[in-house]
Amino acid sequence: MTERIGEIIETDSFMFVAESFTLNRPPALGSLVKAQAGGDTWVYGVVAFGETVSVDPGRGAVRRSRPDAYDEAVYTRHPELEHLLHTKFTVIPVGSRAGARVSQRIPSQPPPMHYSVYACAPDEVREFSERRLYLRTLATAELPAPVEHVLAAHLTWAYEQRGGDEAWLEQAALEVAGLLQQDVERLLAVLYAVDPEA
Amino acid sequence: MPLDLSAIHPHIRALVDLQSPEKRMRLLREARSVLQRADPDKVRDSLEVRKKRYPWLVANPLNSLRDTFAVPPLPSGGYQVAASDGSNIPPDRHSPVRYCVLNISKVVLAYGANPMASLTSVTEMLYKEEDLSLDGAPLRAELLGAKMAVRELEVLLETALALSAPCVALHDGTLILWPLQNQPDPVRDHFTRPFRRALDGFLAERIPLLSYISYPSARDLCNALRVALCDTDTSECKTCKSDHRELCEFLGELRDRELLQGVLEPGKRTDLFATVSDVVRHYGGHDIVFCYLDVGGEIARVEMPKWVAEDEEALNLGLGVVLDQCALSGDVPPYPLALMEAHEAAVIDVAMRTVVEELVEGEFARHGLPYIRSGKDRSKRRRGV
Repeated sequence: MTERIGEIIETDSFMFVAESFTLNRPPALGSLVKAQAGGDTWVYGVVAFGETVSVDPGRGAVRRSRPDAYDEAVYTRHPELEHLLHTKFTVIPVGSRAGARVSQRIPSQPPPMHYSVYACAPDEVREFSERRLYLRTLATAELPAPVEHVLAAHLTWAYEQRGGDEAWLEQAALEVAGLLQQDVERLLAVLYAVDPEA
Repeated sequence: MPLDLSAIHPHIRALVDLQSPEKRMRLLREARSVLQRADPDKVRDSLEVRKKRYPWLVANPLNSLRDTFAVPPLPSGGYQVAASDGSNIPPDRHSPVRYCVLNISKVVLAYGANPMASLTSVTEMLYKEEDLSLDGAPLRAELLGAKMAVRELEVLLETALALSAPCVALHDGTLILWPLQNQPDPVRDHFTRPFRRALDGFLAERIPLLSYISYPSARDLCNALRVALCDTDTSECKTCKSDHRELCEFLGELRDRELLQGVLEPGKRTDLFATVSDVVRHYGGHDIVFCYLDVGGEIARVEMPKWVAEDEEALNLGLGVVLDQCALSGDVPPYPLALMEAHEAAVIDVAMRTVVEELVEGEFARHGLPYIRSGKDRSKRRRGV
């Protein structure tokens, strides 16, 4: 079993938000994660946004550093911040797993509230990303961040998880080119960002 | 627009004029000069000799009236601080059932090698007759306030007992149970007994307990200066012919925090004074002592049991922690961070109040019991046009 990294605090059919167990460390943008959906059912999703904000929306964060205590020292001087801030990440569901069967359709049910989110091991990433229908789901989803950045982050991240699989990256880039052919600026942004030489 | 601002605007200027700034500055200078030369022995003796109590609260100086002290820096290595505050949903006259919810926060902040924070609360529901009334009379606002103060101190003690030294317990507001001042003996004793037990607990474990009052409205020290100035008796105030009469009357309206503005400097405290409040006599020997502390941008009043005031190490640790907590708040004027978090952890917001009410209402409905609120309340909620 891979690492539990968060708990779902908002969920609907096309997006879920989880609270990260580590403050200031949401999972990598573009990474593939999975949410427990009861029994042996899992929802796969791509991380499309991460943020650290005050737990209480009516009580914003204020400056806490001093000339002699900043960055990490702020957290030593203010142990309460671990309780007052939280790190959240937004995930776009792009597939599911029921037992051994992996699907790249949007799951029929959103993952349940307060259920766990796990990181995906490289083998699982390899298995899921073998087919790339899910890139279309991601490219057309309503994202909290510009789509080209999320796609580029995902391609780069998956390429590394697959052990620097250049053939995969080439195919994926071609598919993204097809998806973004109407928007050359966005397409170029993805292609420049995923170029391993860049 | 429900409020006609144009009707009050001309009066705001008149309100400023009423303060007579020049006269006030002159009298304030005189008052501060009295603070420097007044004889603390005269105040102490007057309080001791007088059979009839003064009609106002008079600070009883343990030492001087005028001395100020810099609070020494905290020992290195960190400290732990416990704090508590309370919030409640009082019994609602418009509701068909009487219940009350208390939420008392338990905050611990630890600094040093192993920084740590714990921000929790204890939630209690009172609904039995014996919890909501005393001697057959319903627990109204002021007695509910006393009950909260007692529970807050009990929870603070419970929280502080789990700490390791050096540690300090911070209480929000005063240690003087004012709402009990004019209550009959059994009512007063009902609250002072557990309050006293909690005070015993702090003493037994030598955990410095301090309470913090921001923007205090007390006049105890100003009243001590009136006693120092007075050559007659307060029963003759109305016919007083003394040259000091104008100053004395000014002191009667001045707050201690105003008197001390500029007398103290940031990080400094006044000398120590005992409160002569009546209710404290029922604390089983735990006299309450206070001083004023300039926390930088505000003069705060800090109260403590007398043993803390007499134990130099406990006093300096306590006041040092208060100043450090104020510095950590990052606000101007500052407020101790632990108390700020204690407030946040205790507060029951409007949404939560509604949830509690709906839970009660839902449970009544499930059992077929009628739950009808008053017509007045329903009309306020509906606000139809």
